Amino acid sequence: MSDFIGFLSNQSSNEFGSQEQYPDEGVNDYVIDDSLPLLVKIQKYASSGIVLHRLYVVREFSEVIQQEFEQANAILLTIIDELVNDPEPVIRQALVEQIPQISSCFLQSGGDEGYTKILHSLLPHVARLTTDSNPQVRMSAVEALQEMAKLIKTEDQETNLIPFLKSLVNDSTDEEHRVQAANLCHNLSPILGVHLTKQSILPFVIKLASDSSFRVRKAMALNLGNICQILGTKDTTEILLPVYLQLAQDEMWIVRKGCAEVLVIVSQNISPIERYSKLINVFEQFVVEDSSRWVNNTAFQNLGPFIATFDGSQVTPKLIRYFTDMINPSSIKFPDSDLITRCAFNFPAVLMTIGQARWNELKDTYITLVSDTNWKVRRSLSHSIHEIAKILGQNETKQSLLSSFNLFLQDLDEVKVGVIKNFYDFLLCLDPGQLRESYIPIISTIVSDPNKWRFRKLIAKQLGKMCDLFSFRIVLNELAPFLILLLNDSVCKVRNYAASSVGNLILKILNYNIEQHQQQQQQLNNNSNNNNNNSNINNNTSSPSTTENETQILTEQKDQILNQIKQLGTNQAYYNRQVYIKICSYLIDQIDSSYFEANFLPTLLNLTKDPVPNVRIVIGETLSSKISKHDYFSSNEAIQNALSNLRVDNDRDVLYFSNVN
Amino acid sequence: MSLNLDHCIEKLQKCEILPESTVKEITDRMKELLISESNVQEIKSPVTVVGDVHGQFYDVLEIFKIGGKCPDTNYLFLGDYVDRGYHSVETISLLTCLKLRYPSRITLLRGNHESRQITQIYGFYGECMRKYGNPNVWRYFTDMFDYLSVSAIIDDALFCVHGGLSPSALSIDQIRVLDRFQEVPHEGPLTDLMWADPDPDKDGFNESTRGAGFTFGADIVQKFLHNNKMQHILRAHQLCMDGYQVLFDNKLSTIWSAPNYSYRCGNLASIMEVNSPSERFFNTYSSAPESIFKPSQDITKGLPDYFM
Repeated sequence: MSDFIGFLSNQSSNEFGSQEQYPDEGVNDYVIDDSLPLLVKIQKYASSGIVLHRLYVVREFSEVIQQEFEQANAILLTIIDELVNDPEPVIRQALVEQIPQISSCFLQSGGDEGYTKILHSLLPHVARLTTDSNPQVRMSAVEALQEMAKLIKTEDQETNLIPFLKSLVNDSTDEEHRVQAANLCHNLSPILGVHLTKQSILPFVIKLASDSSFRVRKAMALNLGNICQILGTKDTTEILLPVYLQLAQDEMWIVRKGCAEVLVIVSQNISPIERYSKLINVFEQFVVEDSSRWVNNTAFQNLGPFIATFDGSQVTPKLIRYFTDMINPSSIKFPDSDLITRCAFNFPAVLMTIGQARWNELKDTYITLVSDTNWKVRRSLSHSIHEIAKILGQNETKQSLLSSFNLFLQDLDEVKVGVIKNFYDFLLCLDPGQLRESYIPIISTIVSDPNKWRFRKLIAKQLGKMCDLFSFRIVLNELAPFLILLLNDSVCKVRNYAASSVGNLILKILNYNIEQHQQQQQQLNNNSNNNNNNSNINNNTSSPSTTENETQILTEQKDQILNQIKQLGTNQAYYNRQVYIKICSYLIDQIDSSYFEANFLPTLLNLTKDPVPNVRIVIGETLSSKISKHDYFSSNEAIQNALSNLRVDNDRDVLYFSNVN
Repeated sequence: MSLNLDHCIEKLQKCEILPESTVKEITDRMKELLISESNVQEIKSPVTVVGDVHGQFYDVLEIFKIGGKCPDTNYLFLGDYVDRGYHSVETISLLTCLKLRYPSRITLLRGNHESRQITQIYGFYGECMRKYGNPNVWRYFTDMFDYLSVSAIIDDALFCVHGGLSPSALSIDQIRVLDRFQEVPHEGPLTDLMWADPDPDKDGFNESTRGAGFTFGADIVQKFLHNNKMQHILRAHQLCMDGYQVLFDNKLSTIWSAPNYSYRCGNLASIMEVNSPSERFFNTYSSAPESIFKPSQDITKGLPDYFM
């Protein structure tokens, strides 16, 4: 220990030793006089020779216009007119990012005149900056133009946006302008809607898709997504699909790669017949014939999502083979380890698409993936194994998935977390009884590991639901003690999640009819007695007392658990009492109201007089925002009285939280 | 528009910085609030005591996950909020907003890093310049630091300070009358309180290798507690591999709350939960997963995205 203190001391010895002179000069050069009112500051520094000063005030534009629209709007417009031509790209970018917010203020506070200013001054500035010489400025301007388009009335869209777009499309002097036109077609179509997209944007798309510049064609290919979605299945199939098919044959690989990237979204928006008859060919051409590794790779990366766009019965075994080949370096032209990660990630979607009956086509691939050396592959699979189990059903889960699940439980924390997070869902897919119960010791290890509070939290969250998965005996003997342990955890988050699980445990306990259990037991015993005539006499005398004993034990355990939960409300540690309040805030929606009233409410209301303000804060919030609003309790006098007392509490935070609605 | 602290806190919890004008406003209001605080803040249990955090923002969020959120839990921070970590700005902004929002739920003391000179060397100044493009925010916060109180007493029994004891302020009453509203000086009682370290091997006050403050031995602690009718000293200021260290026959505890300090020391951290003067619990923790990895914001509803 002293070594480390020594280490710190040595390191710190120069904290004062190397005292540098306070860099006064440097500091003062940049200092902005902030005794000035905001608007005056903006006017003073907007024309400063120091870029940082200008940047500083530009970022305050949306603030000043919100605060003092009347005084600021005309002044600001003049300053903006200057700054759009600022020689520094960083200023133009910051400015164009501010204009949509400024425009919103013009719309809200400026009336008709404000709207006119948007159309005739602010929008043209943004539009011009979409073709700025600097790529960052262009990117920000495209985003800003999208925001601006949302502010414009539908009837003004055509006259104020389309001509500008058209001028870009037809600009033969600079291919960069046409690239931006392609971006804008994609970005603006959702705002312009079906009608304008079909009438005005579509002709631009067709024109740009056969542009002489491959950079423009590539941009158009990449930007087909929104347009497909807006146009819908019919128009996409009839008008856009031919454009896509033409681009997919482009002589430049980068255009074809663009097509591979939008394969999924195009597929989602065309008719099933065309999808089957045309797009499978396109995909095969990308992965088999295409000589570019980038086209090949991109197509494979999108294969899982592509398969998921099909109806299961349309997915050919050949398509599935391409998918399983992704993890097989010898069977594809340009193997890439990233494809294995993709295959693992998309695996559940592909299985869901083709269904449990075709598991055989995927099974071997799954088994191989589970033992991949890359933990990211296993992490992906551990997070989805419960989904696979749901699709496969109990029998196949036991046959094919159990060993993988067990491996994940022994794996690195980054992998393990996936199965712990969805423990309940996986157990649900196992046979009730012995097999499920064999996981109880594992849950026990997790809840008692002091070093992994996030794992404890994940179990705390699921313990309530887990009560439905096991026999009453297991619930009482195992799950309930786990939950009580977690309600007393040293980590607040764990305690709070455990509180949410109490309701289901109580329901399970209250609904379980011990007499019924007793009868069942007796029946079982009688049956065995009848089969065992030799020991008939012995059994007849001993069995009723055994079940009586057992009934008594179960009843005692039941009461003990309920008491342990209730005792939190009178525990000496204030955070236990807070947990009791949290439990009640959940219970009110989980259990019978009259039972709650008789068994939990009195202790709860006592806590309104707790000496620790932090307890009163939590009860104040729970009573005012939750319990007093509950139908059954809204006119409960004791609750109303308790709340009125809290509302005259001498602690300001208690007052605040007891008045929260 | 008036200052909405809940909104600021929400934003900061996502590790987003506040606009410069808001920082000006919160630091101004903080100064008004702190000016009335005594040099020795009186605090009642239950309270959770936190040591150095040094701009390790995600580990500060971890503290609230483990110890409970403010205002459900009371907090006493022993200083050294800034420098060395990647997120000094977010850390001190969040703690300032919490103090303004819940003044009776959280107490902030001054550490040796809450100083103009130290922050220019160890990171906070540079971070402010990077994140705001000018030194204003650094100036607002360092001006505010001059107002932070320097010590606290829990339940009239536990004396809390960032560094330790000073030979020139051996009684708590002497600490009460110090003029604290200034930059941390090079020497004197204020400096000692923020810079001193205990030395289990050497009695008396001795020169410290840090170049400021002293080391103090078991006899000094014994006398200080006896003369001031205190039971225990809580302090921070020194890295402990286990997150805490108890010295002098359980008369002094060091609390260290920056896990994997500077993202490389591999140490644990702790907070001390004080239920009553004699019921003190070190809650230890290691570094938050987000401290190392970039935080992911993709909380998707419904079908997970491997189903598209």
